[in-house]
Amino acid sequence: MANANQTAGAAQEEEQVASEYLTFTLGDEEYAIDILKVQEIRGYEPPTMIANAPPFIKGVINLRGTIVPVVDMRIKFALGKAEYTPFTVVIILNVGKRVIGMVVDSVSDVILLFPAQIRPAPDFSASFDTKYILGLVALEQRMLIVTDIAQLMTSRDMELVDEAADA
Amino acid sequence: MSIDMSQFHQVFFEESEEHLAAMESLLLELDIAQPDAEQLNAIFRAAHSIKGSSGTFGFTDLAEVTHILETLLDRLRKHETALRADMVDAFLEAGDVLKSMLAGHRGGPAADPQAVAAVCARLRQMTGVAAPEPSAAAPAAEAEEAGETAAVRAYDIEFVPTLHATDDPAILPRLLDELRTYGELEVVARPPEGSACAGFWHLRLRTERPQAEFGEAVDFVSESDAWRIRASVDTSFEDAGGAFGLFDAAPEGEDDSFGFFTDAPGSAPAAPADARAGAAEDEGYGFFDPVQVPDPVLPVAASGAFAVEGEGFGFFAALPEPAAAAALPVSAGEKGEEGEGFGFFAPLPAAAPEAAPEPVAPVVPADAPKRSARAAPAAAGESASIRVGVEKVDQLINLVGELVITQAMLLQCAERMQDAAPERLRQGLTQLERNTRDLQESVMSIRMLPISFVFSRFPRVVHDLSARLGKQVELKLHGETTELDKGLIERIADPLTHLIRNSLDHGIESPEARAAAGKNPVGTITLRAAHQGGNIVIEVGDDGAGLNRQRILAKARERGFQVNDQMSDQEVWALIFEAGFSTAEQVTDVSGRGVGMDVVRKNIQSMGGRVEIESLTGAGTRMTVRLPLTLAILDGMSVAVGSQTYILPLSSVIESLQPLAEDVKTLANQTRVIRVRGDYLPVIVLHEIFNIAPLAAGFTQGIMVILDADGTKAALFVDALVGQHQVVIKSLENNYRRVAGVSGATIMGDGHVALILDVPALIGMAKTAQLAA
Repeated sequence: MANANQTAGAAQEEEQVASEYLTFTLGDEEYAIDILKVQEIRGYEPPTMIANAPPFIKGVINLRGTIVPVVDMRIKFALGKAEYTPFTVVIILNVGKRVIGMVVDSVSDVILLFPAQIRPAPDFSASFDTKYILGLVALEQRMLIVTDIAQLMTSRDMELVDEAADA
Repeated sequence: MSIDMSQFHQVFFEESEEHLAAMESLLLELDIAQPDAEQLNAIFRAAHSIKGSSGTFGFTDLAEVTHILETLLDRLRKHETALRADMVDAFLEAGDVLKSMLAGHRGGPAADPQAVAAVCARLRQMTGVAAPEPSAAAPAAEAEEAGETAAVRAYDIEFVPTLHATDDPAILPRLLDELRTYGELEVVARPPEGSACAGFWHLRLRTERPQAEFGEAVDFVSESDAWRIRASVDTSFEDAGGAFGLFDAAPEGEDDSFGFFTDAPGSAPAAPADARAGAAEDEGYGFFDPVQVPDPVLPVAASGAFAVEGEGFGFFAALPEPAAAAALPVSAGEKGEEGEGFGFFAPLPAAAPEAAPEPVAPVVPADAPKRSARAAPAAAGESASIRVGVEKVDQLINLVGELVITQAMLLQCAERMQDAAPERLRQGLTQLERNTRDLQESVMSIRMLPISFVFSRFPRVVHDLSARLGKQVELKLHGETTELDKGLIERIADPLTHLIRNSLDHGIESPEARAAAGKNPVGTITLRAAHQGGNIVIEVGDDGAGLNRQRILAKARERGFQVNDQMSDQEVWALIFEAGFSTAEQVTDVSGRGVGMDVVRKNIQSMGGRVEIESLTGAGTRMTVRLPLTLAILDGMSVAVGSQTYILPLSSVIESLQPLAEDVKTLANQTRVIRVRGDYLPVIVLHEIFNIAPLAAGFTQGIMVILDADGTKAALFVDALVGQHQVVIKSLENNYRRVAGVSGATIMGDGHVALILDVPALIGMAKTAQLAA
């Protein structure tokens, strides 16, 4: 009994443990991703094009000797305008032993979220963009879309990996 | 303090493998009629080292086999027995068995116990057969024991017989009788009569014969590890020299690193304490070398160490200098307190004839056993080297690659500044360029190994195979010092082995056929390695029958290949690399199953190399393997298409030319071909395949690069040639996926990524694209 109580207590405590999320905007939408998946943020530089790749895969860049593919989420999600200005940023993600660059409109901030704050997203059809949504967070007037970025980047939809995780 | 022995196992395995390899190559070099004493010594030392270290690390099975091997080798090097060819074979076989046992200990499949037993029996039998007459042995033994006063010595023999031995009541009495033939035998203690001889036996034997002679007999009936023979010069010291298991009674100056405790006249007075301690500790192994200089301190320290040690392993080597001996007790004492400590006392190689004497006192603290264990082979004549993990070297290579790119980037910046760049900056950059280039070269050379690492295995292959096929073959090696990348070394071994086996099996004729053809009955296989440009060229040549054009063509037809009589020799020879092709008249276990040559070609191609055949009927065949020097760097030609730059491997580029409008034609309005010196080659338009907007408006404004991949030629149309570079190959698949037509990526001088084109894949893509069109 005491044991069960303890584990229940631990679970409750775990619920109270907040995690940090990085938020970024794509068009008018605001997304949040686990900050532990983010390696660094850098400016956009024109990548080397890869032949016959889907349009949202911009190509590959040289990240201090490592060849890193860059995807433009604005093209992928058809959000905002895929313009490349000196302020365009690339979030370098470290997911599943892979390094992937992700172009977004802008990076907003780093916020602390408790698991209780993340509300389940309404169940739409299993369309592409809702499949990787962990939940929604209401923050004053803003709505954050909490995304499982690792799942998304290794999925077949992104065409980034040979053996997709959900294949 | 407890030390985990397993941390040294890796070192032991690597060293043992080296010793085995050294032994094998020495055995193969041996001139059986007149064996070189130095070579025999070296073989003995290799076996001896394996035995010593395997005993230390508790691999008793290895120690047992090497012990038997060593016994016979010892006789050979002392000229008590003449070397015979079958002995060499038995030694080689024993080497193989040891290798498989090592592999078993490393986690591989366990060695076949029957094979082990068979080899042991064979070696024992040779040792037995070779045993000299007693009259001959006695003076020999006496000579060995120079410096000792008494030739007659007493041995305490203690053992527990095996179940097998006790099952048969005749075995133990027979042993006793046998021992009586050596000298005066006294039964000190024996199990009660009713217990069918099972239990503890204690015998005392006074004999002038060396212990090795009767040790085998005791070993034979005893549980392994459960027998002990102790010796002393005189009965008053009869407890002296307690050593466990492996024991060498011949106390001449051991010329090896791992000494074995023999009786030490100087230390004898103090040794009993040691011996008793040893007797109490059944798991203690003591290997002692003779101590020539009487030193009263050493034995005390040694016995102290042993008395406390639970599972201690103590190595005491010959200490020819009192100074060194004086330093010894300190560390020995420390070890004694540690209980499970290890004391490795590096040997002074003064007795080793070929080793350079080390001026450093060889006392190594007990907490550095690894280092002293390493010092042992170094003392045996190895050049100074360190063992480093390949991944560390690779990391270094990567870092240097980065540095080169950064340096190139800086240089480009400075060049763009032109005159605005300060003079000192430019000077510094020039200096940096030179330094990075030197650095890169030396780092790359770390991964380079001489090809003798591969070649060294072939004498054995040829030796075994020629014996089995009843052919006489001499193997000639040239250019063994040619260096190539370690990664290639590992991967070239199998294809080369196959080419050699093929030459032996198909190329070289039987001695009779050779004699009939007026050739030397002994065939020759030549293995030659050399650098040629940026490539390494390895030739496997034989002076055999050569390839038979008619037979290959006939076989190809039989197998359903598309052939005709007008094919060039080169094309006909290339047929033997096709899958499922074999012209061996009968399938042997050597070759002839038709798998192999195609695998050989595939393996070589996967390394970025190619293989060519030259053959002259009746005179021989020569297979030439061309490989790039390393897998990590590629000689590339950069080409521009639209805004993109691509790298073509220079090895597949034949030439480039600016096409004339009338040279490019279409076939059935789909396939375009270009006429190059009378030949029509298919045209691959890169910007079409990659969907890039080209700069060149038509064929006449661009460049045709003639490519060759696996003998298929094609012309690749690009906008322009940019230059020639050495590029570091980077994987695209680490973070992305495989891209059709691209084999990898590299980073250019300006920091941009350029993709490396996969020429065979491009040709394939062009074919399918045209089919679809």
